Formats: sequence, structure tokens, C-alpha cells
Amino acid sequence: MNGTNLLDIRDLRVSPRGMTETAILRGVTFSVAPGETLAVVGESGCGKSMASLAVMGLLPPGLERRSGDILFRGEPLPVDDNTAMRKVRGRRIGMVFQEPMAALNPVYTIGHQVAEVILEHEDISAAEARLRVVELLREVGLPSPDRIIDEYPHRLSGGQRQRVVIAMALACKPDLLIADEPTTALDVTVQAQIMRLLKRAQNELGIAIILITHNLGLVAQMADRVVVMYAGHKVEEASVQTLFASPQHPYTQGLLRATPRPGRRRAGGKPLEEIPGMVPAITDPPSGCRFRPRCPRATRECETVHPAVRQVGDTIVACHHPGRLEAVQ
Amino acid sequence: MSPLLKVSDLHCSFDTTRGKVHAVRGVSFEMQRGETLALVGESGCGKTTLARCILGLQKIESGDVMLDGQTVSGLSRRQLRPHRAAMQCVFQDPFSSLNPRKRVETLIREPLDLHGVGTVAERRKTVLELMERVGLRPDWSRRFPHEFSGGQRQRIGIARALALRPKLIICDEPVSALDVSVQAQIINLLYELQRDFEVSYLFITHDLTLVENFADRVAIMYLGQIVEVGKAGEIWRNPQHEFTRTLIEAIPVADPNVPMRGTRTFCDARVTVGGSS
Ligand SMILES: Nc1ncnc2c1ncn2[C@@H]1O[C@H](COP(=O)(O)OP(=O)(O)O)[C@@H](O)[C@H]1O
Ligand SMILES: Nc1ncnc2c1ncn2[C@@H]1O[C@H](COP(=O)(O)OP(=O)(O)O)[C@@H](O)[C@H]1O
Ligand code: SF4
Ligand SMILES: [Mg+2]
Ligand SMILES: [Mg+2]
Repeated sequence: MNGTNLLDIRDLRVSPRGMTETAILRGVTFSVAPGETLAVVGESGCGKSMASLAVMGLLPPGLERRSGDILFRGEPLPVDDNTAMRKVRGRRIGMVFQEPMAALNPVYTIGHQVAEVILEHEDISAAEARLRVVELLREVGLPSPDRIIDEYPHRLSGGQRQRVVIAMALACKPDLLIADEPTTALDVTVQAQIMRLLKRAQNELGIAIILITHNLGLVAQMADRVVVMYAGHKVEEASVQTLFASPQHPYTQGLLRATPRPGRRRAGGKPLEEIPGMVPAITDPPSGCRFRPRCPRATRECETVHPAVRQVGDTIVACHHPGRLEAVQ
Repeated sequence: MSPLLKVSDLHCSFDTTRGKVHAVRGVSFEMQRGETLALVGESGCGKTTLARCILGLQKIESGDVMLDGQTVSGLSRRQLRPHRAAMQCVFQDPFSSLNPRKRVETLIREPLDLHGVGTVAERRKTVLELMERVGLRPDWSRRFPHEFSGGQRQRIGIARALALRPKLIICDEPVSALDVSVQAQIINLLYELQRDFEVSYLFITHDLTLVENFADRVAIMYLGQIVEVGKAGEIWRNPQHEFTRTLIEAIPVADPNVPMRGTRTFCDARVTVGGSS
């Protein structure tokens, strides 16, 4: 057991209920240290959201955790016990989703909903809670918090709603915040404000953040460490500096090359670098390495043997032939 | 020679329960033949409304649109008909913009049928050629849209838009719903098709990073107006308008050695104050 970690996920496997052959997460392992930002990155469908929902004990009814331990401060999280998890959610682990309306109830005021989170975990009066809510709304940068507290969600812009959800997630000063694509639905200028808000909250409260995103720009700006996922597997893990300077896995390299870099004109040829092919269907994965049909480096071995996760230098990588193929751009 | 597209002082507004929304406020620009012009702006700034005005799908309040030297704004449906073939569009959501009950071959052939181009056999042949050209296997022609991935559905949309050999295709956020690796595939495809089909693109996006190596020029839109137009690289290096600077600074750079920027709050004004720039 690693005493220094806040969260440990070990060999997590998730499948649709009753379908032992199909897996959505195929043995995913990673951990989060107190106060750090871990980015989990990968294209849609690779399992980022299901990994975080498994931690919260909120997997959709059709899915089940088949194996794998989830430890919080070294203790197993009671993810299958909803009553016990209610104490963890909000209090120890806060969560922010892509769609703020998923976390907000349209028929209650903002103030009511934020106060509810506080009252669930703390024994204070409604009047005290209201003062705390105004303060929280101010801290997340909402204009005129004493007015917004009595508004309904639909009266706010998307960015303002996401700030409210962040206020709810931070209300009880959790140790860990899981932010699942928190700005994907927002404009880039609003995204920048939300990211600065998260950074500030992290500095002030010392919380750890799991930032789930497909945006490598956000990863570069926000993360200390990065986990790259592909088709239900962790394929690479490294510090943000190492990952961008010397990505080891061909998929990571492809993602980095496909990401447009502002101010860098490509010499001739096509406007953008692409990864050929597409993500395999979870019901019909290729044999051996899941990335093989799209991989420029695939060999016979990749067809038959699934690559195990191993340490190469400062990087953890699941590939038979890791290393630089050519410099990224 | 006249420009391919000339939009002059275009205005469009909507009457809503909360009053009049002036979505497009005096937009003017020109596009040359074979050019790609990117129209970049944040949500609600009027990009889609402007596109719909140009396509004749949205009534305009004032101003005019000229395609190939002929006025196409303010025409009746029937008057617009001969111009429709020259102007096609590809929408953001490949999932909702394709009729789920029609086979791919029908979806791509429909514009040819509507405009009565060639014989039935010729149309069939054209469809298969188009599928091949956009990277779809011709033997998939009898499949339905739900059997394709998001990127493939966007290829179907592109084949359909190309069928009538238009001079202009308006692409409204065609890659916004797609993953980065697939985004790159679609943008590269559009780029390759441009030469063969001699088509111009008005490429609408909220993502300025996508268009730098793709568009010839970029127009930045803010609150219903085009606030800046320039060569793509030039806009990056030397943005002139305050909004463009705010936008560029907010874009997170995929390099951990570049510190986080985006400290400007220009856009907050839109939410809290509302109204003009
Ligand atoms: N309720 C569900 N039942 C069955 N499969 C699901 C369910 N929810 C998600 N999935 C599948 O799980 C995989 C991973 O999904 P998800 O974690 O949401 O991906 P990401 O967040 O990386 O985009 C996807 O292939 C998705 O189709
Ligand atoms: N049919 C409509 N009725 C009322 N308002 C509309 C309608 N379509 C668009 N708008 C408004 O016009 C403005 C511009 O919208 P739109 O052109 O869709 O922006 P964009 O495509 O840049 O996101 C927005 O304020 C939007 O709410
Ligand atoms: S294991 Fe083989 S196929 Fe998979 S990423 Fe590595 S080189 Fe490519
Ligand atoms: Mg997700
Ligand atoms: Mg739009």
C-alpha cells in the first residue's frame, strides 16, 4: 500500500453487465498524489468517464466493476455501498461534469442547491449556510452573488452554470476534485477563466485534481502528470514535461502531431497530421495491441501479444516498440 | 472578374419573447474562387445565422448577397433554385443532419435527383465515385447512417455536398463534434478535394487553431460583426482587434513550457453587461 497517495486505482476492469467477453476498462491502474493535477486524456469512448464514475460508485446500471481495488488514502473505497459513498461524494471527492445541467436541478434556485450540499455534510443553520453560499459564489467569480443565489439555473450562461457546479463541488473542501471535460461545452475564453479558477482553488485548498479531457492544450497548461488512454487501456503515463518532450507510445505521438500548434506553419503537404483509421468498437477489438490497425510501427508480435504496461526511462508505457519514431514536428 | 461571393452590409434579426435579437449586424466580405475563408467566433456570435442568410434559408433584414456576380438574396424559392446547386453546405452534427431512414447511396444521390442531373445509371455511378473520393468504401452504399462513425458520417455529408459540383460549400462547424485525429482526417480531406473540385469553402468554426494551415484568410466575428479579416498566420502573429487578442490568449497551447495565459476578461462583458462591443 502506498501511504503517500490520495487515490489508487489498481487493475480496474469494467464490463457491461453479464458480458464477460466485452470490457470497457481492461485493467487500468493509476494513482493521484495529494495536491497534484493528473490529466487523463484520450479520444471519446476510451473509458475516461467510466473510470471516474467507477471511483465515485456511480457506474451506469448497465455496467459493473468486475475487478480492481479503489483506495482512498490507502483505504478501500466502499464503491458498492451507496449510503457509505454519499458521505464520500461531495465531502472527500467533488465532481464536475461536462454538462453543468446534469448536476443542477432546473426547479430549484442556485442558492437552494449549493446550500443542500453543505447541509448534507455539515450541521449548521440554514442562515449560516446561505452566508457560506454567497461567499462560495463570490469565490468562483460569479458577478453579484447575492442576486444570483436566488436565480434559477436557466437564467445563467453555460459558463456561469459551470461555476455554480464548481462551487458545489468545492463547498465542503474535498481532497480530490474530478473534473470530467468541464469546459468542453464552453467557449475558449470562458474555458480559460474556469481553468484559472480551478488552479486557484487548488492552490488555496490544496486539493488534487483529476482533469479528464481530450484537449492536449489543457493538459499541457494544467497537469503535473498525464495518463493516456486508448480503447479501455492505459497506454502511457508520464510527467507532463516528459510526455510532451518524448512521448513513447505511437498513439501519444499521433495525438500530439494531430494537435494543431498555433503559430507553427506546417511546411507544404496537408494542413494537419492525421492518425489513420479509427478507434475499434469495444465489441470487436483487434487481436494483440488495440492500436495495431492504426500503428505505423506494428509488427507480427503486436498482432498476437497484447503489450503489458512497463517502465521505460521515466515513462510507463504499454507498447512492444516504444520510443521515438521521429521528432514530433 | 467579380468575386465568387460578395456579402454587403448584411443585417438579420429575430423577434423573441425577450425582445429583438440583432444576430448579424452589418457584415460585409468577399470571397475569391477557390479560396478558403474561415469564419471564427464564439457561440452565439451569429456564424450560423450568417451562413443561413447566405444560403437563402434565413430571411435577411437588409443588405445583399451576390454569388458569381448575381444577386441571390431576397429571391423566392423558385428564383433561388438555379443558384442552389452552386452553393452547398455541410453541418456540424452528422448525426442529426442525415435522414436515418435513408441509405447512404440515396442520401448522396438526392441532390442529383432533385436537380435532374444525368440518367439514373449515371447518377448511380457518380455516387460510387464520390464515395470512393471521400474515403468511403463503395460497397457500403446500401448501409444506413447509424452504421457509420461520426467521421464517416461527415464524409457522407461532404460527398452529398459535392454531388452537384458546387462553387461554394459552407461548412458550419463540420469537425466540432469529432476527435482530434478524425478532425485532422476531415480537414485534410476537404483540403485535397478543393483542388480537384475547384470549390471554395466558407469554413465556420469556433476553433482558431484548426484553420491556420487550412484557410487562406480568417474572418473573426464578434457579436454579429466581423471585427477583423486577415491572412491566417498574420492574425496569429499580429492580431489587431481586442477581441482577437483575447481569443488567442485564451487558447491553451499544447506545450507545457508555455505558461498559461488567458488573463483578459473581455468576454465577460457579454454576459454581465450585454449589448454592444
Ligand atoms: N451504460 C453503458 N452501457 C454500455 N456501454 C457503455 C455505457 N456507457 C458507456 N459505455 C461504453 O463505454 C465506453 C467508454 O465510455 P466513456 O468512459 O464514456 O468514454 P470517454 O469518457 O472516454 O469518452 C464507450 O465505448 C461507451 O460506448
Ligand atoms: N431562430 C432563432 N430565433 C431566435 N434567436 C435566434 C435564432 N437563431 C439564432 N438566434 C440567436 O441569434 C444569435 C446568433 O446565433 P447563431 O447564429 O446560432 O450563432 P453561432 O452560430 O455563432 O453560435 C444568438 O443570440 C441566438 O440565440
Ligand atoms: S504494441 Fe505494436 S501495435 Fe501496439 S502501439 Fe506498440 S508498436 Fe504499435
Ligand atoms: Mg467522457
Ligand atoms: Mg452555430
